[in-house]
Amino acid sequence: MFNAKDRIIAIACHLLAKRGVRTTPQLDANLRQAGLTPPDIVNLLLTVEAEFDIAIAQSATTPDNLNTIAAIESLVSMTLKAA
Amino acid sequence: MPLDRHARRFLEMLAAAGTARGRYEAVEERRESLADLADLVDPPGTVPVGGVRDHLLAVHDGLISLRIYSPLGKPARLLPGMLFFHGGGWVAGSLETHDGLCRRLCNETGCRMIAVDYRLAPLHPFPYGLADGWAALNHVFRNPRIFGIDPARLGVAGDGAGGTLAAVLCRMARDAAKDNPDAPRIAFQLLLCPILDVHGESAARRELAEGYFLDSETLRRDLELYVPPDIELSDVRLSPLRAEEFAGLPTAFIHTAQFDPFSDEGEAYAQRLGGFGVEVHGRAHAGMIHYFYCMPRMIPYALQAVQIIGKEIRYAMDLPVKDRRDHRRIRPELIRA
Repeated sequence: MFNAKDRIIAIACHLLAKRGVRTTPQLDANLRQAGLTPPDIVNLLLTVEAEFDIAIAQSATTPDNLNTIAAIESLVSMTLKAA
Repeated sequence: MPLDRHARRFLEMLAAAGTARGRYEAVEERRESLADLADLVDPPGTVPVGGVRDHLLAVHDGLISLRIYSPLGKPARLLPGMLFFHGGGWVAGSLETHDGLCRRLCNETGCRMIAVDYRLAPLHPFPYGLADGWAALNHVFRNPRIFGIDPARLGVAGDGAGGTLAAVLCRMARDAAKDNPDAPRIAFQLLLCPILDVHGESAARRELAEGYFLDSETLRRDLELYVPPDIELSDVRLSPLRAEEFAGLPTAFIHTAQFDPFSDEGEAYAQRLGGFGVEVHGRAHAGMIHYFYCMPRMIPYALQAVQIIGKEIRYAMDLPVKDRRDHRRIRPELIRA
């Protein structure tokens, strides 16, 4: 069973592969610098919501919460706890 | 009505994800941005249709593609046709970015859609795109059997900058028919959030200049690339709303969005057409933003809007409607009647 971090990384890797990027992003790497476009990051967020069956609060949708795998993992954990 | 909650969330997510806003420098940046966005909000090739095929057309100094969509089911051999021009500020957009919309319009309207891959600025500034559109219109009108369309029921459609092209082609066809009985005839025009006055002086342009998906600086840059310096912005081929007369233009279906910077000009155009006796239908879609009709993954109302449009066109083209009761309920209404 994959943990949340691994599942988010797998989604990010899938999106990066579409851009021709084959490397796995580090937890604290900036996702834009890793090769994702802004629509990719929105796509990542939507896919993460579907994967974990959660709805991330609108107020939590901030640049700081979306710029790394670690930040998104933290957002997912908080949302799951609040559910 | 406030901004639709799905539209608001989409705008906030895009902003948080770091979408570039305002003026861009390289046109490739603008094109990639729209293509990436289209992949997100409505991935091309995912809506089933009866058939898709491409057709090459020789135009001045080159070739352009026409993409022909046939509706699901067992349609008649000759159907009403709709020549479609995608948006993207005359500098961006493609057959791919509007593929989902064309597929849905095809199924919902029952028309055979013919999407035109007209050439874009800055390599092909005004009036190339318009000339490509005119060539496509003439070609389709004169070769209806190749396209499987009834030339008496051929319409033009477009969104955003494509809406400008569609509206201007209607004027060109009307004027050409005065001297040439063989000129193409257009049965209807479908304009989705069209740009109809590039001066951009309306209240909506001012009040929605930033933060509603399409910023005024982006539009300004589009125009810089599209319009040569010797062409006046008030030229009716750029700003058809600035024309002095509108008589004899085809029946119009005009759909605007409440939070679209172009909403005022779309509604003003509807009123101008109506004032000259042109039949006008359409809606001002409450709570919606520009390009919403192409975003079903983010804004579910997009699907409903295309269904509404489909029934309007079916009604006008005398095509069967699946649910007569529902058809009566959403019978076309005059925009801002």
